[in-house]
Amino acid sequence: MLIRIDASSDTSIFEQVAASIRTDMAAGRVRPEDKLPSAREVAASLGVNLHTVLRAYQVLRDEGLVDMRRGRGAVVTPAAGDLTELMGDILDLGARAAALGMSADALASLVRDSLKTTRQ
Amino acid sequence: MVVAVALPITLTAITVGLIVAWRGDLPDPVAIHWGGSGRPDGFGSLATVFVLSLVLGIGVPGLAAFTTLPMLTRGARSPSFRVMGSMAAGISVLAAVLNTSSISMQRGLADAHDGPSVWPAFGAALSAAIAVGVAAWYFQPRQAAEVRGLQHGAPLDLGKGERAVWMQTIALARPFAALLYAVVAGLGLGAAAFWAQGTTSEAWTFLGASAFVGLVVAATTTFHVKVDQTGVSVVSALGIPRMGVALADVADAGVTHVNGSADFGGWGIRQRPRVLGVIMRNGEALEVTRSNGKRLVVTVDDAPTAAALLMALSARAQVTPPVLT
Repeated sequence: MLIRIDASSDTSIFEQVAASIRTDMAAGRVRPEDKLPSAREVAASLGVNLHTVLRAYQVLRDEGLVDMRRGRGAVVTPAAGDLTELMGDILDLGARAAALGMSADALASLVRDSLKTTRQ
Repeated sequence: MVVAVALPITLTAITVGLIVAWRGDLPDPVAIHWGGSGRPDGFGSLATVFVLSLVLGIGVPGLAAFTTLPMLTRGARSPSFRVMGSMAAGISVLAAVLNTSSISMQRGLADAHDGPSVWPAFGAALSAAIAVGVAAWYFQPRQAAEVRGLQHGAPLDLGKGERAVWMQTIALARPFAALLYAVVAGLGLGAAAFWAQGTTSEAWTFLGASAFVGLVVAATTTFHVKVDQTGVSVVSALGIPRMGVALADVADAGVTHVNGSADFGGWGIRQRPRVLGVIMRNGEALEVTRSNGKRLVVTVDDAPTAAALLMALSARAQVTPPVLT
């Protein structure tokens, strides 16, 4: 599992950590029943606060991708497998948008808007 | 081929032949186990001796042959095959000499309890086995270790302010780990059996062995692998042993494919001249070369990403001093 953060980016660090892990889940490199590494180790290696990493794990928990179990730490849920399946659709969508000359930001904002309407 | 197959079969045939020829002279039951003092303390029928001769004389070398011949015939080359051949020859000699001399010294006895000490026979068998094993080594053709190329991908495109870490937990496949723990459990059961029997000293030995083997298995079958700005580290789930290469010491990193049996003579933590391997399975592995030329090989999935990150961090550290946190 690869976790990358850019301190100079506008996105908050914990969001970047969560995004890294989410990407690995979508790519199938992190699978259901895998254990996430200890937050302490990740924080030490990245040179960030322990609570920043914990917050990232909580974001993933809130999204249903990770289960925090006593004594076992953060365990990846089957939902991560669904995410891997979704990745196929995402790649197709990205390819079609690129063929139309659409930027990543434009596509992202369209996706965001459509989700707002579907949730209403 | 000759040493691992022909020799054991020939020796075992001779052993069995001799014992059959002597059977008229031997007491029944015959001594088949001796205690620390050398005196006989375990007895069995001749049929047991035949079975033991076959199992030790052919079974063990057969196992060595079985695990290496398929690869040899396919063209794999490795010094570890020569070791296996020597071991097969040595073990078959040990079994043959020990069996024949320990039986031979009981000829003419009415009762096996009166038999002489086994130490001279054992000493002779061990010396012969070592001599033959060494001879077998020189008899076999030289095997140069296969040098498999290292694959390099592009280093990771790390931005200036970017930090990254790559982590993975590797472990021996469940069935094999279960097999190892079954041995531990077996030793534990042995201890319980001795305890029930009242021989507490043997029980403690078995219990100690069970605990020791259990610890060693636990410490060497699961590892946490990490690549970050300190370098690459491979740490046992139990905390020790720990291995790794500091970032400043990384001369090269890439992807290779390993076969535990051919490349390292087995799986687990394996030390060869100039190479240390943490081999949990066959297949894709991260290979890191130190500035002194020695290498560390760790079997991991997604090795290209690990290598790419390590190379990127190493390149960056040479341009800018490491960030101290």
